Amino acid sequence: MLGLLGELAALKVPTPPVAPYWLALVACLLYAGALWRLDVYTPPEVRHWERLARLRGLEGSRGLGDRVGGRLPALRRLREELDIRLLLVIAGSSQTTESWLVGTAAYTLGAAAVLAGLDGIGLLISGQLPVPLWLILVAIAIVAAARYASLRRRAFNRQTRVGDQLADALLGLAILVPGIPAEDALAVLARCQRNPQLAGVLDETQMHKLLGEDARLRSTRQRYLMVGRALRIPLFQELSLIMRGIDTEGLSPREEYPALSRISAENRLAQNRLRAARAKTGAAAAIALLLVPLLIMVGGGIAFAFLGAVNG
Amino acid sequence: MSLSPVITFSLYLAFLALAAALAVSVGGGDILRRPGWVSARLRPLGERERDLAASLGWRFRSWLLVRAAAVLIGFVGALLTGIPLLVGAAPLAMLFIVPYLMSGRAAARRLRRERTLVDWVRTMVSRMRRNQGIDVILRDGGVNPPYGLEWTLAPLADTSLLLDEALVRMAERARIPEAEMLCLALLASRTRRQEDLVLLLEKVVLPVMEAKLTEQVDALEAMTQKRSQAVAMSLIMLGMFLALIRVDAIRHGFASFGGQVLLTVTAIAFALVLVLVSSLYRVGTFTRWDLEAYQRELRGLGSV
Repeated sequence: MLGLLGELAALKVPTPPVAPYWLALVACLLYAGALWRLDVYTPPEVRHWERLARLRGLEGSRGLGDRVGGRLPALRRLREELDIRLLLVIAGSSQTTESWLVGTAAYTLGAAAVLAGLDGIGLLISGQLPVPLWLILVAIAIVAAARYASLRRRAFNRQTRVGDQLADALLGLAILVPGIPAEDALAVLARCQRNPQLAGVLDETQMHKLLGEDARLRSTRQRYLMVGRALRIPLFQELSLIMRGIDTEGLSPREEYPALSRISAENRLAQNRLRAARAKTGAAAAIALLLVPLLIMVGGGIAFAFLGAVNG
Repeated sequence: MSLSPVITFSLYLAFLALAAALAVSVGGGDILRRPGWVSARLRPLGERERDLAASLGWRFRSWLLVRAAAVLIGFVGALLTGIPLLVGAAPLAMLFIVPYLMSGRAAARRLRRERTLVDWVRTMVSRMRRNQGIDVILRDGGVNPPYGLEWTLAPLADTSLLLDEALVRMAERARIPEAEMLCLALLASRTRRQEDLVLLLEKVVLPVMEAKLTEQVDALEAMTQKRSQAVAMSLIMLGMFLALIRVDAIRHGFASFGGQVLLTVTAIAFALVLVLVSSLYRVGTFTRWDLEAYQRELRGLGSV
């Protein structure tokens, strides 16, 4: 048996040549890259618009990330999710990306300092580390993740709240606009909301901070369009379009604003119902979780009774 | 040269603390919040309590008394069990349990009021269609209010108040966004063409209120179902706890340090699940309006 194995080992099995496969792979990648470069994957309409924009000098220079994101929506979404600058803008924070990162460093280092302090105390008392070092690294990661999640939640909440407040203000806009300009009416309504999130967005100083100094040169319509884009609130863009329709196409504000108000309210209600339907499944699982504290308490009680019996 | 581990750790600690402090100062002192932060967080809580009291049809002072009495009962009950942890935990639990238990009743009552309000608006529109003046209809609503809206509509019957002031008072009493939305519409358009007001109420206000009502019914149904499950589970837990502490060994075990930790873990796990269930059923609300400020703004514009 051993002899047979020795002979098999001595045999030289010819290895298949791998070079052609690598070459084929490289060729495929080059081919795909060339197609991508030639805009084969871009829809013709988009290509035409881009060409027109190039001809008119309207196209800004896009970075590699933007170009890749334009072709891979999943990557673009991921970039947007991790774009701290964008999240800070949406959250209405006055911080810069750098100061937010430094703040995050402060929190993580603070957490590490607390745990290291515990380790120091443990070492003094028992000569052992109560908190393992890897746990400090995990804590750092958790604190950083929690800070990011907090920023994301703030951004999402503000986005939702401003959108909702704008939708609710449309009703008032429908009443006030025939008498006063839409911009002033919206400012009045925003000032009368108990939570002044929309008023904060419409404030001149805040708007200039958000849109840059050339916001002063833009019309109200354009500014609303830009705010909608910056904060990712489509209702601002829809409002801007309606304002344009009223100004240039003679649409009636008495009909357009109430219609937009009703549609936005119905959309919101539909979203709420969808959320409630989704929550039903989650709630069933959450109710089952109520068994956990019950089991902890009963199990603990039985353990105490058992220990009492054992100890006499 | 080797340093002692204690000194090494102290150095690490000092380094980390220094780095954190430096990061805070460079990062704009984000950790040290503004002084108004606490009050800004507490104000919505106070408003929520006022809303809950209004939904129950109680005065805010009565609601506070009930809350205080519940805390006191929790404290006295915990003293009787002789378990130290419960002396702190039971009043705290009562602080949260009472609004949790009452919120179902409050939601049902509020839904009834909202439904009555929608019916009232529908009647108002139909009377306006028959060429009755809006002022007369509103005053009449205050004098002959529909069942359930007596307290809310009472200011409309007070002839010493101007009608727009009465509308502001009505919204303050109602403490529901739908009523505020209605008053918002009425305040500005009451003095304009009645046909426009009818159209606005018919095309925007009523459809939105009706859709919101349907959503509230769905949410209330789901919430009631889950709440009853949670209450049943809480009662089972309470029953089990009372049965367990009748055994001396278990009662002594719960009174020990380990037992206190166990009870704390149980309470935290239970509270977390309840919070999870409640957060799953949060219904989206409409914007709340400061109608007094709105009235001032309208006066400034010369609209009222």
